[in-house]
Order: sequence, then structure tokens, then C-alpha cells
Amino acid sequence: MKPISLYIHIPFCKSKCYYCDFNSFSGLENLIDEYFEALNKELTSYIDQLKGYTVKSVFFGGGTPSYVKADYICNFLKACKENLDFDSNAEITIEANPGTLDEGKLIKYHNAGINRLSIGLQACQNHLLNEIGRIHVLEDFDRNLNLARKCGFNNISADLIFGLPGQSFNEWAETLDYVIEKKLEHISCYSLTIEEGTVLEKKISEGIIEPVDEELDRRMYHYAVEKLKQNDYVHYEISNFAFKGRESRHNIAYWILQDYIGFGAGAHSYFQKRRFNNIYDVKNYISSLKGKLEIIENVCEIDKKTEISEYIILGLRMINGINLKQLEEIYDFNIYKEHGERIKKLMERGLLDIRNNYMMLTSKGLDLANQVMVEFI
Amino acid sequence: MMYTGKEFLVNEVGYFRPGTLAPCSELIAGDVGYIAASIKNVKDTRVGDTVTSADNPASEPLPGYKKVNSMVFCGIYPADGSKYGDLRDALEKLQLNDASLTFEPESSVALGFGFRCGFLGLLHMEIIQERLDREYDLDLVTTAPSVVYKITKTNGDVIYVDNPTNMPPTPEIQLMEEPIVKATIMSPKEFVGNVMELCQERRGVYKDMNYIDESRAMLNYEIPLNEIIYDFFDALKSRTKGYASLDYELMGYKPAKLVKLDILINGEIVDALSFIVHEDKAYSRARKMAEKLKETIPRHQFEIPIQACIGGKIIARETVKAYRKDVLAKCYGGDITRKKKLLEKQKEGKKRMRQIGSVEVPQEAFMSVLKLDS
Repeated sequence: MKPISLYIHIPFCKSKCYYCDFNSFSGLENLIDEYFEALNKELTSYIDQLKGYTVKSVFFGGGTPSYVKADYICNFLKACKENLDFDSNAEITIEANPGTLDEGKLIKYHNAGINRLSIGLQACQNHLLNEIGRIHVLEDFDRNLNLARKCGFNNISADLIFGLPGQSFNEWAETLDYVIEKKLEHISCYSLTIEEGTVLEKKISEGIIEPVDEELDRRMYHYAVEKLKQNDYVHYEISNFAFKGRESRHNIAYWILQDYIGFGAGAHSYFQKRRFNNIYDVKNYISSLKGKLEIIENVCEIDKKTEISEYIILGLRMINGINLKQLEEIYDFNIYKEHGERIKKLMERGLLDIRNNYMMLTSKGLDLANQVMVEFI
Repeated sequence: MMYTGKEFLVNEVGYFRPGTLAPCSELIAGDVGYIAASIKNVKDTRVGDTVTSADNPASEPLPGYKKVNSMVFCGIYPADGSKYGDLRDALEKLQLNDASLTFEPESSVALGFGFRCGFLGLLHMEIIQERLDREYDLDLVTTAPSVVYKITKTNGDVIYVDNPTNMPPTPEIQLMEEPIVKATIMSPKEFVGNVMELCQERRGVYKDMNYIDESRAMLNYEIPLNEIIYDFFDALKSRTKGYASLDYELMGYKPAKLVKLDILINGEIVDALSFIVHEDKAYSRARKMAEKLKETIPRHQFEIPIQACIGGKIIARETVKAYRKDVLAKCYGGDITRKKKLLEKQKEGKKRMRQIGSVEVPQEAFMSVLKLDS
């Protein structure tokens, strides 16, 4: 049976965070009901194609999946389980915003088979949370975490952002101390990226806030890497850390080129050597499915050459890097023959390392990963 | 062909029809049409030439087109030295249907062998560059142009220098002279003030002014050629709402206080960026160039000092900060396609880089220093 992962996009939010450029919206609550009907139609359209596949992981992302009524989520998950073959150990995650969880939802999620929570904490200082437009305060996270444990969730992840405007190094250190003390199984530490069209970008271009100093950003990153390592976290991907055995199976699927289907408006898929996405507009997504129209766009065939370069580029995101022997076995591709000179130059620049047949980014390489990846694209 | 003297066997003659050709048996006086013949070499034909019968030729060719004056020049070099021949062929082909393009071989230490090309204006230059890139798939580096200076050395030798890198060291120079043109500018009355201001900015010497009719004036100035060569024409057009016209002819050399401005990137002189400028303008030009280069040269893993210097003395400096971060924090399902596009763009950008020591300088940098003045 071939492995497959499912991503389900829930584009609804209470309000949009200032750094967010995802396909998510506030004020579309009236579409929730129809949206889930549409999701069901989309699921139905895949059932035949997914015969012969076993679902290894499911991820409810968004937007704010925890914003909608739990029944919507649980019923959809039920439909997936009824119509597709699930691995008994499938990792099923839901992303949650601390301001939208409650005991009722958590119990329903747990009963439906959701076994992992990813909670957007971002920072511990309420003034920072406010500055980036979050709807919660630290106390909400604290309360929800306790509830989640009470309801039996033993695989919980928190998202953190560093390099926030106005965030001091000490505030970042404090945030790390806080999550470490909570003994969460998984922590994601993201360096803030100012995306086009976001409130933060506008504020910076208008001079209201200063962009963060790169030097400070890197200090924060490497501090986190060290601190988390000291506290039994395995640094397994550029931005992801977990206790041994608690790495996110769903996310790893992206970086090892496993197939995945994205359900929902603007969701992306990699299936049978093709990359494609669903249309972004929520209303359009709903009406297209109603009218049995095409919802897929930007189909890109991935030929062998492209697949190999993706294998390298995505695989390098994993801290252990890529297994050169495996690369040769799977694709009959000797990386030294094709990229020998480039690899040598990257190693001279101190960005790349090769040990025991594994090629990985060095500590400096983690900072300048794009400079490495551009050589292999 | 009466000018080139070549003979060809005509295969077909005909008229042009919308979207198609219509062959016919003959073309007579007053017709506009085409002649198809086996012409192997582009150079065997010239726009404006007169076609006559080889058996019964006319005694005189018809008066041909007047060769237009180039207004803007630049150096064009192939990014890959081995493509010199391809560049030459491409320029010859372009010249066939664009008689206003001129070119002559030229060379540079940093860039190898190339051509000094003349255009009708900055826009014409950009178009030719685009066409060379797209239609002939040529990767090019273009530089600031050079004019020919006359230098009398202290030992009495008189040399002509067209490449700033060949300029002898200052102690050896007794006298420097630059080419001057007699410029005739026709402009509507209301813009005469603007025109005079522009000419003065460009070290022009006023000669006289006549009114051609009630609304138009004709001004005569003597202006140094190096002030005209790249964006004078465009500046003139923009200050006169497009109405002014410029004609010029070389009238000789005049002494001038000129200096050679060198640009150092990461401590190394880049000869393709050197140029000769009037003493009075040296400092402001140096500063502008350094600033422009700072904007165009991408960040590297190390800090890059950009210095402008005259005779070994540094008169302007900018620094390109080192990269500290170039990584995508999040890369999940929806990010992969976008990420690949960004990397592909980065890769394309790298192709247009010239390696100057350990610094990668984009080809645009050589061109961007041309567009300093408004």
C-alpha cells in the first residue's frame, strides 16, 4: 500500500494576524457550512484515486481550524476514515489558536481520533502578541494546554516566532524557557518573514516599525538550537524540534517527497508526480464543487530531473541531510558527477558538509540555506 | 547592388499583401515590393542601396539614405568570450533591418573583446540589448561608453586614448584634450531657457541663437562629446516635452581638466567601470556611482567595500553589508512551489553575474552606472 498524507485547509479566522499571508479570512463565517459540504464533495472525488493508498497522516491547517465548530472537523475526519484506508498509527493533527479552544472541542477532537495538537503560541509576552495581532494572551495558552493534557493529548506542539519587531533577546529566551518548562513534545521556531501584503509589511514600509536586525535574528535562532538541544529536543528540521520519536510525521512527508493531497481552498498537493493546487477563492471553491467544475490549477509535471533536485532541496531542510547512497539507488544519480564542483565550492564556503554518505547543511548553512539550494535547483 | 558591387540572381519579385507575399512577373516604376535572391552574406546588401540590372546597369546610383548620427554609445561584450563571433553576426543582422545601429570592435581588460555601438537614444540602446538577448539568445555585458581623448605626454608624445584603462598616469600627462562637437539644437521658444540650462550643465559654450520662425529657435553650442554621448539627447527631449531636435558634428579637440575615475570593488580595480570625467564633476559622479553600485551589487557572505578613486586617492565609498540570513523559515506543502520559483529566479540572476575577484557583479551593474543623471 502506498503512503499518502492528507492536508485539510480551514480558511476561517476570527481576525487576521499581522504577519499572515496564508489563504485565510475573517468575516466569512456564513460560508462555513457550505465549505464543509464542498470539502465532502472534494473528498468523494478522490476516493477512487486513493484506492491502494494508506493514510499516514492528516493535518487540519488554516486559517484557524479550531475556530469552527468541532462537529465540522470531526464529521469530516469520520468521512475520511470511512472512505479511505488509514494506518492504525496515523498521526492526526489539528492546528489551534489558544483563543478558540475549549474543553468541549478538545473532548470531541480526542474522541474523533485526533491525536496531535499544534497550538500557535508565537510568544509569551502579551505586548508582543498584541503587536502582531494575535487574539489571545498567554493565560489562554496556559489554560488550554492544561485542558488538552487533561483530555488525553500527549502529542502537543507549539509554534513560536522570533525576530518579531520590538522583541528583545531576553524576551525570546523567556519564551523558550516557558515552553521548555511545559515539556511539550514538539516545538517549531520560525524566524519572522515579512510577507507582501501583510499588515507588518505595510507598517515597515510606512516607517511605523523597524525591520529586525539580521544579526539579532540569527543570535536568537542559534540560541534556540542550543537551548532546546540541552533540553532533550532533537533538532530535526531547520525550524522544527521534538523529543525523540515525536517528530511530525506529516511535515516530514513534505520533505521526503511523499505524496500528499490538499483539500480545501488554495490547498496544494503532490500526487503521482504532479504538483497542483486548488483555487484560492473560498466562494469560488464552494460554487465550483457545487457545479461540478474544475477546482484544480497550476498542474506541474515533475520529471526525473526535477524530482531529483526537489529531493535534494527539500531533503537538505532535514538536519541530518540527504542520504547520498539512497539518492543514487533510487534515481541512479551520482551527485558528485553532476554537482561535484558546486559541492566543493559550498564546502569551501563552510555551508555544506558530507559525513558518512550524508550531505547536510552546516550551522552556517542553516542561516544561508537558500544559497546552498540555489545550486541544486 | 550598386554600392556594395555584388551581383545576385533574382529568384522572385512581388508585392506585399497583408500577412503574405504576392509574387508577380515584374515590378515597374512606382511599385513598392520585394526582390528575392540568393544572398548568402548580410553584408552584401546595404539599406539605401540601389538595385540595378547587371547586364544593363544605370550610370549612377540613386541618392541613398543619409547615415544617421548616433547619439548614444555603449560597449557591448559577450558574457562568454567564445560567443564573440555570434555577437558580431547578431549585430550585423540587426543592422540589416535597423540602419541606425552602428558598431566597431573594442576591447576591455575586464570583459575581453566586444563592440562599441552607437544608437539613436537610450531607448534604442535598450531595445537593441533586449533583441540581442531574446532573438539571438546572447548573454551580454554592457559598459559605459568611451570617447577618444588626445593626450600630450610630458615627453612630447601625443596619444589617442579611447579606453580609460589606457590613460597614462597623471604625472606623465602634460595636456589632455577632449573632442568637442558643434551642436545645433532646435527647440520651441518656450523651452529655450531649459535647453540653455542643460547645455550649461554639460559644460557647453554658447555660440549663437537664431529664430527660425516665430515659434522655434535654433541654438548653437560647443559641447564636449563625452557630455553628449549617453543621456544628453534624452535629457534634452525630456526638458522640451519631446520637441527639441539635436544635430552635431565633431569639430576638433579642446583642452580640458579631465581625470580618470576608477572604481574598486572589494579592493580590486574594475577596468570596465573606469571612466574619464571632468574634474569639476568628478566628486559628484564618484558618489553617485558608488551609491548605484551599492544598490545593484547583491550581498555576499562577506562585506564588500565599493570605492571610487582618482589617482589612487579614494573620494567616495559605500559598503555592501554581508548576508546574515537567507533561509526560508517555513516550507510546507503550499510553500514548495513558491520556493522553487524563488530559487529559479535566484539561479537566473546568478547567470547574469560577472565574477570580479570573489565578488559576483550583475551585468546590470555595468549598465546602471550609465543612468546616473536625470
